[in-house]
Amino acid sequence: MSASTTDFQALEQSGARKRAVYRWILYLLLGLFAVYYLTPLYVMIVTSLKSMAEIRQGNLLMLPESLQFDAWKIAWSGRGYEAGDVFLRPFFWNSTKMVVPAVIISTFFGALNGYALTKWRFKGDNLIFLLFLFGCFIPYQAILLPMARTLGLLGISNSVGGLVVVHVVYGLSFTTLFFRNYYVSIPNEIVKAARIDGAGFFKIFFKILLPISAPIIVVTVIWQFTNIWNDFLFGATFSFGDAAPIQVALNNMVLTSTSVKQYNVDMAAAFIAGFPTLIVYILAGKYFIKGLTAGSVKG
Amino acid sequence: MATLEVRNVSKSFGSTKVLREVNINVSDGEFLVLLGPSGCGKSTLLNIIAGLETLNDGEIRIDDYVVNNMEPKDRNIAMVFQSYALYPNMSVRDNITFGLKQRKVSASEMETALQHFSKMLKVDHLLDRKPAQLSGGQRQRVAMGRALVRDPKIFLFDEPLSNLDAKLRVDMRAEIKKLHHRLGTTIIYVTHDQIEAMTLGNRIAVMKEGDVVQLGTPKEVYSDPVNRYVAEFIGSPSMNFIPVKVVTEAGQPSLSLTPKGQSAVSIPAPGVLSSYEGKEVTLGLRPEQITNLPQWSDAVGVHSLDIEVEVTEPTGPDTLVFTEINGASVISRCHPDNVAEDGGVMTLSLSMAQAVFFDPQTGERIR
Repeated sequence: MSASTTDFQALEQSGARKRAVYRWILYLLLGLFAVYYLTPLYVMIVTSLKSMAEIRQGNLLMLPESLQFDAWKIAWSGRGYEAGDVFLRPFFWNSTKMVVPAVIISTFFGALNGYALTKWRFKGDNLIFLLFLFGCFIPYQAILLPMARTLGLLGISNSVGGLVVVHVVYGLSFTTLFFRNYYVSIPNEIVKAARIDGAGFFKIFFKILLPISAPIIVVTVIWQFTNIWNDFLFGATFSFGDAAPIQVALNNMVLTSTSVKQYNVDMAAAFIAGFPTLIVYILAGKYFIKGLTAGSVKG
Repeated sequence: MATLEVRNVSKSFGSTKVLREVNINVSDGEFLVLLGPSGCGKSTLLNIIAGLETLNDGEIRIDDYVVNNMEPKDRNIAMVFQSYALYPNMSVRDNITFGLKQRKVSASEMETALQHFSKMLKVDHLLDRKPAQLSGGQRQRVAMGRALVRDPKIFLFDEPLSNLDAKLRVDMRAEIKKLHHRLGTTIIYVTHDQIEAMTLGNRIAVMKEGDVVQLGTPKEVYSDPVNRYVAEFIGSPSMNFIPVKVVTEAGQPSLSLTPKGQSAVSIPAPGVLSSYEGKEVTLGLRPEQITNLPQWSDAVGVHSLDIEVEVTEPTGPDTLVFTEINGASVISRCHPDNVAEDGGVMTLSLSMAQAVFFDPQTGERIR
């Protein structure tokens, strides 16, 4: 009896030890990956805070001797005297003016499409959904020429408005897919009850479906915001000069520096260009995961 | 308060026929139950009556007016769903009054109706809660409140109790019945639960694969089923079906029964089987028609036989005895006293006066 008791104790202790060891290995690995992943961001930030002299002589990973915000100032509002100076401020606002309406419009129509496709079934609705799905697989490059022609005919090429149209049209497939999959999980009986109660198509949408769509709206907004803000190809193709979005301006800024490469300015500019998406993720990331999994579990 | 007429209604989804020329008349104030297994078309029929689904052929009449193409909201009906279908973003108050708001009912009228029905359904203390904060039974009450408050001509219930636990289901069942007595409104109630159908309905329409197989009072469908399907569907435990051969013995048509562990006995066959001599038929006996009650043994049309018991299931008031006759498993509902041990032998009385017979090939009743 006593022998087996000690056996059990030994097993229990070795089990606890093993568990602790595995935990440590797990955290070590996770920590390594996190460091590996965050190193470029770290290099970006420290480089942007160094002077050019310090960058030339120093190590890439070293912390700056003193904090220099000149590079950030130059990246945001320019040097103030050079002709042909490219800086980000006006283009940041271009991108904002593009991304806000494009996200709102594409999210709204995605919701409306998803609602119609799931709650008001009609002949051929599956075919139409299939076409939307197909839209998700069309690569950017394939629509450049036809889109350029269309924008030309509409008279909105090389304008922020034109880019809004492009992003709404291109994003609609994705937003429709998101909302459709979310609304599929919402019982049709709610819509039936509302119809019997006397509500029509839009009333049901605005009063009942939309108020319970918060999780999927967050997902869609993050998705659309990130894609549109980070887009370079459409921006570079359909706009130039003053109407360009920030990613195009960043490219111009980095490539057109006249003399020596201003690494600190480039890094600051790259960070500014990426900053809004970072903020969106930090603020809404929690809901992003929630929203992605929300549809899969029935309430 | 209204009459409802379903005339030759047919519906198909693609090539599958969901309803085939269904005919049902519901009189004013009647409680009609549509009963059948899932996929028999009962919910589709209810949706067609509500106007949520279109029909391919036939007519729906409410108060003698054809409403085939009328919008659900104009039919003056209300519906209670299995999943309650409450609006998740709205409070109980807003859920109940949503329909009235759509109809532009005045605020004071709305408040009066809200107070009246929320008190009646005992949800008046929950008015500011969201559906997610309610229990299943409370949600169902709110869903009923939402239907009642509109004072519709016809109530449609689509399996309203299926999502509730057993005890609550029994309570709510009684409440629905009381509600019907109190309001006297015409009700169409869909369920797959034969006990709900039996306890609630004035009449039951038993459905199968898009057909109404039998339409009658609970008593009619229980004791006078038109075929084996209805007999099997109604009643729990289900009716016993025993294959028997009609033989001629001493010039009389007789039935040969072999109880488990015993030798064959013959009992006189009823007159309806005269044309089945020499053929096999299916004898249908409800569990309570095979019993051990002593006062039965010398009643008219009762035949006693000794039988070996397989297992017994005491349920409290009754004990169910499982055995075999003619190789078919048989359940008998016995008084708990004087029941043999598992594997023992006991005497059971068969009440042949209430026995029904079916054609083994078609399953139709032999009358």
